[in-house]
Amino acid sequence: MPFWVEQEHRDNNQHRAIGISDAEVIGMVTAFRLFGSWRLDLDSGHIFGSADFSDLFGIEHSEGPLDLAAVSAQIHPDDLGFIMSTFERASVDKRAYHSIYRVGAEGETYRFMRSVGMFRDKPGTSGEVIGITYEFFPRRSGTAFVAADEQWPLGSPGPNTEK
Amino acid sequence: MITLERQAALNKEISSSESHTDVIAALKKVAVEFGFRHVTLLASPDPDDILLAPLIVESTWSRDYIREFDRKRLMRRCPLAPLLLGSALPVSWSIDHDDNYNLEFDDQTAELLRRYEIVSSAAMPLHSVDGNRFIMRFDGIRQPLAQAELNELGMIALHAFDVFDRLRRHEPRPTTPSLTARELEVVRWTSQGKTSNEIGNILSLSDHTINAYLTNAIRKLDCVNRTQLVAKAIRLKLIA
Repeated sequence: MPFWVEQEHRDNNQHRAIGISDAEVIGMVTAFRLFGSWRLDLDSGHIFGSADFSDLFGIEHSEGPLDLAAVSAQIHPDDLGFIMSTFERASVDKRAYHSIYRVGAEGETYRFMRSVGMFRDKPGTSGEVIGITYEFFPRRSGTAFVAADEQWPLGSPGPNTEK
Repeated sequence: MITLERQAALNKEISSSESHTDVIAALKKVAVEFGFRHVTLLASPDPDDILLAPLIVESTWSRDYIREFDRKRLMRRCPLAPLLLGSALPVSWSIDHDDNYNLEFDDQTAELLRRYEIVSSAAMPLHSVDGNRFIMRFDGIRQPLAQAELNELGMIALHAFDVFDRLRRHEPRPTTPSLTARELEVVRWTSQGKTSNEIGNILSLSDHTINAYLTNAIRKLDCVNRTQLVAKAIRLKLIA
């Protein structure tokens, strides 16, 4: 099984044609799950991630570069090699890719994650790889469009009863 | 040739293979012996896969066929993957026959298969020792295989894949160029999100020196940028 797939760049603006905005699509895609976004600076080798990204990997969040060693420590040892290989290919080939892999600290049940990444030009530099990460089989999650006190915490089995 | 004699002769040739090229050469003879024109070994596709080319390990299919298959995005319409993923048994089918395990090829796929004379096929789901799934298939324009032929071809394919997999596992792995302790230290700090300046402060060195260590490490590991360096260092377990 190939763990990542190069794909031709595809502009998908179909939602706009039926009157749905980019922001609304993002709102819905990210509504019921942790949805991490991240950016790899090719020149510095640093990865920057959103708060959801840090939550997904169970690492301490930082506005600055994240600790890639801490991120990689959460990846299943059997998957780490190909994930790093994917990063290498993405940083060299400047293509889009996706990969599915297992994440979880020792003693936890591993969760399947899916990451999609693509190269982005950044004038004056070698460029960046930007991407998104989410749980491939998300745990039952909350009601995203209701008031905060009525929401189910992400990953919980039901409504938050702790008032 | 009597079936068992043929199987023994082909297995003997497969067993004597000392390289992937030898195994493929033997499999080409197997294909001819069974009236097929092509033999292909490919990684078993997942539902997310949209291209055929990256899955192919070895094949005698023409490049034009593979390109056209992928250009038309026919992988998404291929009815074979669910059948092969759901069984460990070899299967044989023909797009021109009704007895096809309910496989339904759409018109565009069927037209392409006919044009490249991939009309009748036999496929065997296979598992490598390290747990990956593969498919070996034979294609041509012969009649679908009788059960006895399919059994024989299935055993030969199993034998060939076993030899192929063993050779693959014993391939010499490239040696990893060694980084100095200082270079490893600098790469480790970089992986933890530190800039050259910050690493310089930690190690009491100038950022110029830090950059030189990183450039050396990039060169030694045959990388093109720091991102690839960090990822490769983690992949090779040079840093934790």
